[in-house]
Amino acid sequence: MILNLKYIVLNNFRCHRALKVSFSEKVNVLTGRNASGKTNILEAIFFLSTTKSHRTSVTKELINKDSKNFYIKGEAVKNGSSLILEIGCSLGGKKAIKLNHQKIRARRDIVGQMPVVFFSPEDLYMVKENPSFRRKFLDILISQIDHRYLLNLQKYQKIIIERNRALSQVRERVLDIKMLDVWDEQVIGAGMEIIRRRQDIVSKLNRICLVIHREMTGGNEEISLEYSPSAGTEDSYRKKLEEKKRQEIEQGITTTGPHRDDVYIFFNGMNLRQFGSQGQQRTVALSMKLGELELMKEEFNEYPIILFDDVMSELDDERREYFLEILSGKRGDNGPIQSFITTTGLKPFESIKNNINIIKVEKIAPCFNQRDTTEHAV
Amino acid sequence: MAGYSRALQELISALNKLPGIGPKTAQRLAFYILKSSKEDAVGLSDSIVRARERLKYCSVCGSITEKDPCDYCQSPGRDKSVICVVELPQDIFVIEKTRGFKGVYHVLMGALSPLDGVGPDDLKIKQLLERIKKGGVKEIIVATNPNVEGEATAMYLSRLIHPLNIKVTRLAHGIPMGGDLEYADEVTLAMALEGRTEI
Ligand SMILES: [Zn+2]
Repeated sequence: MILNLKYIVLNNFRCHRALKVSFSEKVNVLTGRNASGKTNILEAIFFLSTTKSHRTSVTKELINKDSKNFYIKGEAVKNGSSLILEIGCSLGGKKAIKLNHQKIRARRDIVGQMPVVFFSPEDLYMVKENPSFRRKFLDILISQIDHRYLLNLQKYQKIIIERNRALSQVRERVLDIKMLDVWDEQVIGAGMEIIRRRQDIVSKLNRICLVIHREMTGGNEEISLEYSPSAGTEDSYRKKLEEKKRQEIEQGITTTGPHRDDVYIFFNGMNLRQFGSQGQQRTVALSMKLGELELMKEEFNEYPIILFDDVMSELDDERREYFLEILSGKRGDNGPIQSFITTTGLKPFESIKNNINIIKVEKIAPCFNQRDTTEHAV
Repeated sequence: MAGYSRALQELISALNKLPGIGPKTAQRLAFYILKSSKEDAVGLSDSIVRARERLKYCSVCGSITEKDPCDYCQSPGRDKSVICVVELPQDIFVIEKTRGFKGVYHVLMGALSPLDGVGPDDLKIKQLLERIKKGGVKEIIVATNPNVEGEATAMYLSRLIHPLNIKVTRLAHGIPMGGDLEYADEVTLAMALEGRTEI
């Protein structure tokens, strides 16, 4: 195993006032009742890796209700040397990030250091809900494998804010409409780079997911993924901005670009969002996450850390075994993958029970003082 | 701040007005100044007054100088045909440290940012065009920061100056993306000056 997380320390992160958990380098199973804070531990690992939560963008929800800030620390071993990650976050949303005791200035210096893939019940939104969930899926995936992408994404967001302000100023007649050209060119430069990278990743994902989904459904179902870009070339982008200019000046909003793009998911040739059953949508979400996992393996030459929140109970026997084989290293040429799985019972792990590290979460921290209600019911 | 004497309150609130100094730091600085010797405190206040009285912006390039026009603009050893355009006067010191640049400067006093309400008329762009119109300028090096606002400003300048048949270049590589010129180290900046590209 080239990367593994040895322990994590949580201070005032959600229900955990003060907690240290040590992990094994194989399959870690976190058991405990609902609201015992199992999911919060996975969320903290994800946060340490991506500086984001998988389920909320509101910092306040992450901070224990009796505190004004939280702190997460984790130590991993990566290629034989120690990697210490620390994040502190205050109520105002200010983050302080340290990598091996050195303060770092930008998110991009930490994202990708400890790659993760998170399987959670929220994955279904990616298939069912609006395009923002699919864009988020792509952005988290690509950011972890490509620093430039994250940098460019942040740049693009800044350009959009500036351009939107410029649009309003043109409407208010304080800015010459010709000044928009400069911002259009910035948008096109950063926007096309995002579009091309997403197109490239989606086509790779498409190739991987097609095989995975066939395998999972015994060849009965076929999926394909297609990135739907707002523009294919710099010229068509420019043309589109030109066409929409009048309307955008009225609204003060940039309405075209990668921040509005979508990923189409086709299921046996049809649009899944409209035609798929709940069960089919669930399987597709799983295939896409497995695709993410395999893609990261292709990029890093090894599997990332895997987080599983309450997904095991949703799987039928066959698919559960499929997963457990991947995790315990029985499938493919890799060894066991360091993974973190929450569960209410140990029954699903019968087949690999000698190879798992069981962590009883209620013993280390009783958790009843949740500020929010996002902890999902069974 | 209730309870502090008036003189102390005034000192704290004056320090608080400085960029990057919050109320807490302002308080700490104020107490530090009070604790220091009287000579040190008076010395600090004198140097502020002296700097404020003697230093001004160069009427040609906008750099900070004691005499007008500044040394860069007056020195015969400086190549007046190459103008390096920067956002702020302090950017000049960063480039000077590399010792690789022998042209003259032009300070814009900011960068285009609709968000901050900074348009072309708020920058010293008209003054730059006037300098160019006087003749003798062959190249404009745009050394605005490599962030969103700096890039937009560079593009705007390039579009404005290109029709005048003057070469416009941009500092190429070396400066960390999204970074500020002030933070770029001298070696990377020297490399950037070497490898500038035409825009
Ligand atoms: Zn001067």
